[in-house]
Amino acid sequence: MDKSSWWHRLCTFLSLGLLFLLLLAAHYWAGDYYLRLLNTTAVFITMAVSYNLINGICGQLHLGPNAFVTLGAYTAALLTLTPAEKQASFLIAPLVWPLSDLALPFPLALLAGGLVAVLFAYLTGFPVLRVRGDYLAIVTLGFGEVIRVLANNLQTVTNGPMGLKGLTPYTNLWWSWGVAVLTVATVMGLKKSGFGRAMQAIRADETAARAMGIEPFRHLLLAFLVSAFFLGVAGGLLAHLITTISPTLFTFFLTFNLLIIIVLGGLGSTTGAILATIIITWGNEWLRVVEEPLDFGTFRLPGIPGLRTVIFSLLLLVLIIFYRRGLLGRWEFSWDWLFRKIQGRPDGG
Amino acid sequence: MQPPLLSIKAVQMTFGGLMALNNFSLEVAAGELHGLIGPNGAGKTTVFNILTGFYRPTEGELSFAGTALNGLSPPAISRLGIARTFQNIRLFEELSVLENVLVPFQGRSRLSFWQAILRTPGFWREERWVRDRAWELLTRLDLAHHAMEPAGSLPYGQQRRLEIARALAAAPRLLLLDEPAAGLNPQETAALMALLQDLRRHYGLTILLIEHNMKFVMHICERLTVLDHGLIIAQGAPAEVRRDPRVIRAYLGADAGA
Repeated sequence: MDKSSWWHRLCTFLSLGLLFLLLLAAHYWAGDYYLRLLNTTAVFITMAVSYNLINGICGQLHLGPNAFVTLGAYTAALLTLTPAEKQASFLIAPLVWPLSDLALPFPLALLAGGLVAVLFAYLTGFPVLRVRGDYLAIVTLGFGEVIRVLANNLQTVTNGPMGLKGLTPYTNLWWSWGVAVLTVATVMGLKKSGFGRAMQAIRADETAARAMGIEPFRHLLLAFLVSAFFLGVAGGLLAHLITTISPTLFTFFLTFNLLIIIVLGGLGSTTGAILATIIITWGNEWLRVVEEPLDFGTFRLPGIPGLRTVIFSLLLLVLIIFYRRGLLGRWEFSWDWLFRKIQGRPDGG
Repeated sequence: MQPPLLSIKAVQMTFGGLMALNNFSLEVAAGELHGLIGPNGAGKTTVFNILTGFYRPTEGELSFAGTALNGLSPPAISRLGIARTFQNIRLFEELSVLENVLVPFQGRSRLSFWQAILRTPGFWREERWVRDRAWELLTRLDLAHHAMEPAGSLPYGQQRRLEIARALAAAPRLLLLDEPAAGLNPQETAALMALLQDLRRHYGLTILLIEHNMKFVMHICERLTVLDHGLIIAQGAPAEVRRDPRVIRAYLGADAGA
């Protein structure tokens, strides 16, 4: 066992090295368009994988990840803007005091974004985790809306509907992919520990789990906090990627997109969440073709705006009909599996 | 005389107007194999649900190894050393057989989140120890060759055994078995009897079991408690209980005892 785990570690380091080289190549040769796409992919991987910790691994239908992303985005943005920039942005009402004078380097601002999201998760965790099922979904949906409404109306903190503009685009490949790798490592590591087994046991049968000595509240709260931290950091990355944030960016549609990603990948599968994020973000770009005029030589098709959404809806319908458990179900990639495939040995054992 | 490991005193349990248990008292000595029998709806599983903290008794006192159980949550009771199986099998079906047995160890784990995430030496030490114990249990219960299969895909008899393995992983002193022989064929039932005797010797277990299979109960239990409509109608050695006219009447109907 020790020898094979040594091999696994080596393989993990090698593939991380490969990712590093690919990013290095992209850093030097990729154009702005692809850089943006790669950054978006990484931020969405972070969000989907950490969201999947609650919905997939713990099996609790949580509908408020947009709240954590919003908190992280606003916190990080307010901390990286210089006092002068903030004064220029807040036209209707000035920004409240400590925030108006505070300016932090980007990494600390990201961390602060994550921690604010964790604090919010901790405070809401007590009421939220007392309920289950549909009730949990409704309560979390409610908290998501509360945060959006606050962002829209707390003029002296968030600048209201005008949002925050002119953020420095600090988010680059190293930050976005660095955080994505850290998120995947944390969630995978958690899943393959006693904590993760307890979370999956709660998903499978909470009554039996309690009878076996598992405290559901303790484990669900832990998942809630870890997920909130990475969602918050992802919010900070997103803010400094698109450089302008406003409350409209963090509506229920963000939650909905994340939900589609994790259902597409297979609830509970981190590998699936990564794969689905890539399919959705890149697919969305490649399908742009259908919205532009197409010239087939003998006849021309005019571009139909919005056709991408129609195609995506159809693909999702097909998926729900033929792959009820998502693309990968609860399957998880492992080096063991890969070695078995290469050597042509059967699964299991 | 040694104080009993488990003592239930004058427990009453009502659901709305329904009296599920009335003045129920039971003492189980350490190392004893005690059977709880009675017709359907007599309140047997209610006793288990009270003992494991899923129901709060309306009245009465429960104590286990000198600790009062009243008001404790199911996980807390599990950590004190009471484990159970369920009448309708409740395995973690999508998890593998091995993972099912690994789960209860987390209930007693003192590892922190950071130790688990940072994969400290302490984490690996515990992980190895836990896995060794789990394999030991799977081997003893003859499930080791199915370790990587999802628990839900096992045949019925093996699922029942896995429930026992999972309960043992919680390191109980008292094991509560809810109809362990239900749905088993005669060979499997005989094997289960041998298994229970073996587990009891090896882990120094005290066992309280609910069962409808009379041959099984009479053969394996040292003492029996017979419940009918929430009331204890007989308590004692199997041979005495079998001759008790009230037991015969409860099982066979009012006329049979005459």
